[in-house]
Amino acid sequence: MKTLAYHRPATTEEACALLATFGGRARVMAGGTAVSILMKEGLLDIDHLVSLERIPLDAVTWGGGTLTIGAMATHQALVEHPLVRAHVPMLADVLAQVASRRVRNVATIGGNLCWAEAASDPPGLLMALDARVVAESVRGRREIAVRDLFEDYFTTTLAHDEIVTQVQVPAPAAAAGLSYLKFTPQSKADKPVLAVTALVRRRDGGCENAVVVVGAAGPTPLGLPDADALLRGQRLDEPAIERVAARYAEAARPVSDTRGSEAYKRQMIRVLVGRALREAWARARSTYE
Amino acid sequence: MDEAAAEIGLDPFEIRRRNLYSPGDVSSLAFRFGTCAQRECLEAVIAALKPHEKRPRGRGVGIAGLFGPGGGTRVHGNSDGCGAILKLEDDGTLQVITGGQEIGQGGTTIIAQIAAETVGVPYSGVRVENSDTNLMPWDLGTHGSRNTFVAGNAVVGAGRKLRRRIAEVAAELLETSVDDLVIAGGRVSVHGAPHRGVTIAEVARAAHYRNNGSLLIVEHFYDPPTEEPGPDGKGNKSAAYAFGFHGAEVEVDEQTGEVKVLRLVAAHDIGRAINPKGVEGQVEGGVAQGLGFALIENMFADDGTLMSNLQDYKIPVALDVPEAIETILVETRDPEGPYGAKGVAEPGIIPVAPAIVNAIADAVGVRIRDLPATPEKIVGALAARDGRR
Repeated sequence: MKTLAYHRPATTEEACALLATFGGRARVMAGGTAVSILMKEGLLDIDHLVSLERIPLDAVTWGGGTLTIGAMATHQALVEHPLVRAHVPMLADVLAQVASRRVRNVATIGGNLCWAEAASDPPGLLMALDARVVAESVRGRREIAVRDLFEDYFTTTLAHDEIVTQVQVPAPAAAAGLSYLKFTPQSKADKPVLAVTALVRRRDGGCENAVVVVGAAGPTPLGLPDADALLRGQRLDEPAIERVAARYAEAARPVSDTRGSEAYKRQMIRVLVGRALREAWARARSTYE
Repeated sequence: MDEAAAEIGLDPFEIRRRNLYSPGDVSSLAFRFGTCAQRECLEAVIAALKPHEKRPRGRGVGIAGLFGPGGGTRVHGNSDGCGAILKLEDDGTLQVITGGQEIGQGGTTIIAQIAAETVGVPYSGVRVENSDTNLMPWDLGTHGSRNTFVAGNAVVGAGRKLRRRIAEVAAELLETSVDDLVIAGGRVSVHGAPHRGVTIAEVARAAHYRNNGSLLIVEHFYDPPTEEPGPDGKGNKSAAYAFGFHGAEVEVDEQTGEVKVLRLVAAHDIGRAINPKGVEGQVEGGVAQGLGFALIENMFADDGTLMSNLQDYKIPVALDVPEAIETILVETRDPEGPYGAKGVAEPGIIPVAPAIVNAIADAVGVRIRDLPATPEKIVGALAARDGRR
């Protein structure tokens, strides 16, 4: 049987050095919920596992209108964290919908993003909120917008030697309305078959800005800034909402599987984008009203 | 049934009312019904569900009934039997050894209750061995709602024999006749003179510590008095029949096809609830399983391999099951059942899917015939009805 070296570096620098040394033969492990599935399925062809468990990377701080979350913070820690609940309560609500309590107790927010599973709750919300990740390597440190992080199913734009150390989440303006709809037509305890986020800001009785992200309906979460722009300055009436919902339904790339056909999923994107926009609109408080 | 009712202009409740079985009826398959509270179950469900109340759009109610074997099922050849061995230990512990296995249904509890009641010892003084196949006597298996009825009757039979043996030994100790003794709570005393008594443990030791001593150990084999169905399927294959009705109230999202089961009322003629909480648990578990069949569980093959994990083969979890499962137990005290009990396990599953499908039809006017009734099928049926496809 092939042996796997298990590394537990104490610092980010050490971890980066290990990745630089072993290149593609190494993989980072955060909470381990994804890596353990890969190992069980025999899909992990590596020689070195670099666990981040000893590195203190789970702090949550607030400043400059942004939540800065250590990548190793677990879903459950964030669900319960007072700063998260105070400044981005929707993030706590969405993280609470991920998998089961047992998974949430160990799965981390950084791990969730790096795993890049399409059928996942947090990525779409983080994209709609313009969140960024900080990636570190021996070559330096860079920030990547979550919007630019995903490349394909289970594939990110990170290099082999990079480690995500932080997730930065700008809090939406207090007056913004936010809606997240997780669609699970089979069992309520399931991965999202569709994950729709809508964020709406109002001004003068109209829409100042709207952002929609449709997750789980293709390789990466789908945002269509052109379609969102159609809503700018509009009242969110039914024809306007319907136009945008139809654009998302057309552009998404859902696949037929045991949870629904491609056609059904497209139809549901239309329904759910509409519902999320209506809910976000209703929750938004106009700056001047 | 609902469609037949509509065809002849009856409401779905009335057509069932007019087609109920009564005690003493013989079915087309020659099942001879003894105790039968089908009518009480139907009326209880209707009373709880209030089907004629006005409901908001997208909501509907449906009911469905069942009858099934509640006293074993003779379909596996010459035996539908079960053996039980009872042994009184010298510390007064009653050891039950039975072939009727525990598979999570609560059989161990029921068997211990029946043994305690029949022999006259406290429940806490009963030990049940029903899993070691080196020791267990014959039983056909825990299936077909037969454990309480068949294994229970084997234990009742053995319990009566042991009680007799205990009385014989105690009669010598107390210098009285066997017929004058009362056995209860682990003590044997003389009728009308409760101070003149001995403990069960003393009785056991008296049997052991003597010349030509003996063990207080008995066995009993119970095989229900039933007929194996002939090639035409006819024959009274069960010694008692279970009856019930379920009523479901659902809310259907007409845009997504999602179904939320708001309430499920389950009325069952269970003969007698030896352990009412256990019976409710059985019914609730049956409802969850039936709900999975109705709405969620979907068998599919991928390259010839059935789905191999619970990530893709979804079963209902707590979030999917209605908060309100209202169990109504109707007791008929079946003369053949142990202390009047009939089987209850499978009946909890049987009417769930038709009740839910009927409720969906009542809510949005489309009838799903291919289970599970997934949201996609419901949306498709609504579109087809409205000529959108």
